[in-house]
Amino acid sequence: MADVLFQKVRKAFGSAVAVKSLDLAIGSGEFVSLLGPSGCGKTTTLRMLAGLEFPTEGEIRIGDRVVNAVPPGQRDIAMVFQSYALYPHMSVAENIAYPLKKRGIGRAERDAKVASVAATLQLGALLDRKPRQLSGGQQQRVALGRALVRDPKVFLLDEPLSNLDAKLRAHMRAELIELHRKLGKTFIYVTHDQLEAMTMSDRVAVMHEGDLQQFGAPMQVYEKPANLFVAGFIGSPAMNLLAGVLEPSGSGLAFVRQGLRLAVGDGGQAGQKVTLGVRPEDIALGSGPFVATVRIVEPTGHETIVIADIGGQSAIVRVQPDTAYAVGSETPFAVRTSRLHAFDSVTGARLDLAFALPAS
Amino acid sequence: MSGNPLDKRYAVLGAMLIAPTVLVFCAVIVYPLVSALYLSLFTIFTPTLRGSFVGLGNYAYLVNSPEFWRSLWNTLLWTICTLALQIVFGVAAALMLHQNIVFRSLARSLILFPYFVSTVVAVLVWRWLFNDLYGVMNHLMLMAGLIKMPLDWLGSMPNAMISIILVGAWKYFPFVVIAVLARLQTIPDALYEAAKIDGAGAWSRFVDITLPQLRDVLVVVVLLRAIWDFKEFDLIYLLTGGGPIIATQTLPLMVYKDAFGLNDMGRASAVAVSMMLVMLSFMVLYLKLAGRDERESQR
Repeated sequence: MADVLFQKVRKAFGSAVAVKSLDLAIGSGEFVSLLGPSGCGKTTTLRMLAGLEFPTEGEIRIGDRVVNAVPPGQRDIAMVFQSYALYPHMSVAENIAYPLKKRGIGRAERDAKVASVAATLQLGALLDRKPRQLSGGQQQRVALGRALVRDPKVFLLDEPLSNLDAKLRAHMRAELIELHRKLGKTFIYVTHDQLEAMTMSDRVAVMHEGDLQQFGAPMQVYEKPANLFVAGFIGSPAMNLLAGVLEPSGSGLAFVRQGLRLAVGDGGQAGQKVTLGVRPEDIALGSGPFVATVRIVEPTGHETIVIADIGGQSAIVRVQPDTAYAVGSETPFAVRTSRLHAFDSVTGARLDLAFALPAS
Repeated sequence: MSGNPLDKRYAVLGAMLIAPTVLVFCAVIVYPLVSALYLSLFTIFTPTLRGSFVGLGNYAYLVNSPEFWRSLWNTLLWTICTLALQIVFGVAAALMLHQNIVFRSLARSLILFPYFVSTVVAVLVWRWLFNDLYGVMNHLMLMAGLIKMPLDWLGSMPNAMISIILVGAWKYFPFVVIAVLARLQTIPDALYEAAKIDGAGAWSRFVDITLPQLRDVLVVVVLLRAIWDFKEFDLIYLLTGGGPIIATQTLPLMVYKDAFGLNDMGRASAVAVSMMLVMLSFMVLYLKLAGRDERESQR
């Protein structure tokens, strides 16, 4: 059963449309990330769910209740803000206890719950401190504590890790995954960081310009991007997108662009403009029917990124660090045809084409 | 400090940069202060500035003078009441102006109007409004049926005290508005949003977020306004002249009367010094209380 449901939700601020027409069903206990670049509508979506913004059109449900007109405090949700939004004049204990206090829960029960949350998040020693006396990571934990203490149905997290340094972020990522597993509650997580979305989520909702582009499991989004935007957005380094055209070739079709020619099994029409998507790890340098010119070599230790010129366009190739490539040299290469993606260059939609290397 | 010659040169430069401030401070603060203390030990005829040494005689006179105690009481009553009204209305107006109301910027400029108007002009207008023969206040209150007979706003008690307190509040509450509004604009929206999600209603959000955030600015505002209201002269002098008799005479008015009405500069200085001592003791107490709260909130 869906725990959170968006039905034809639209949000406009004056003439600016933040969310166009969103349909999204999030299951109970799921960890869902709303992923997209800034201005894609992900934060607005979360804020509408929190009750901090109201949809212009459409319906939002939490559980079996339509919450469009329900104030934030009565929605059975908790939110962790990007800035943490800890109450600066209250101690850590008071911050965590505040939502309980506002719900008229007695002192003894409050203290017990704060103690239990503090134990979960290892905040025990900090309970008497003020937020400004805490490090970013500790503040983050307190913000989580304030959300946890109420035991809400849905947790909303608005880029909660973006103010932390890289090492702490990786650590908190693991803690959040752990926490989600322990609580079994629905988590909705807004981020522009695909690494966070991919590693933590059960499903990722990729958004762009107010539209939901794709909603699926991380690996599904990675391996079968629904359109050109998702293909270019998910994956780091990004997928190489090579524009070409389908031409008749023998009895079938071939994808043709400068420096590249692939046989197309079925689907597509002659003359159709097609963009070929190749992940950096799916280009094999060293042997093959095509030729690339090495432009830049970037060793990172565990792998080497080679930027090579393929028919006038630079492409990113991920290679093993043990092979040396001389800048300026020409090297033959092949592509893994089973892992190629094709998109209609005009509509951006994914095409299901099967490719094969040309017979040599 | 090490023996580095550059350090020494910086030290000399530092002293030179501070020197003008120190000199001006001595000329305009230390000298008048010392001189007031010195004058208060004499009986001095103001026009000639000649007189004889009386030691603490002036102070002894004040301690036994009902007029002095009455003026002190008036000063405290005026300061506390007008300050309280300034704070309440100032914070309320600031909260209102912080909302997205129509004509917000116009309202923001208009509300500062009383503070910008010169005291003389403001007082003349108020005296006209308060006039017992043709004043608008009496007219309106008679029409509304609130009073049966015209009131003497400035010439009888307790009306005169109430009138100066109200006019003082009207004149100076914009100062509170400016300071509080500036602070309100720096409170992050996320705090209010978090509180909404935590289930806090409008009143809770005001008490739990706005007020604690305003604490620091209110400490400063109360301190400054208390000093200024305690010393207020022109508004009261122009409105009631301290009357009826001495019913609204505050210490600054007494200083003026003693110095230039009774021509006794020595006693006037003694009143001024006492005023300073009263203010000083209140400030020390207040800062201690504020400081203690601050330390508590930091623990």
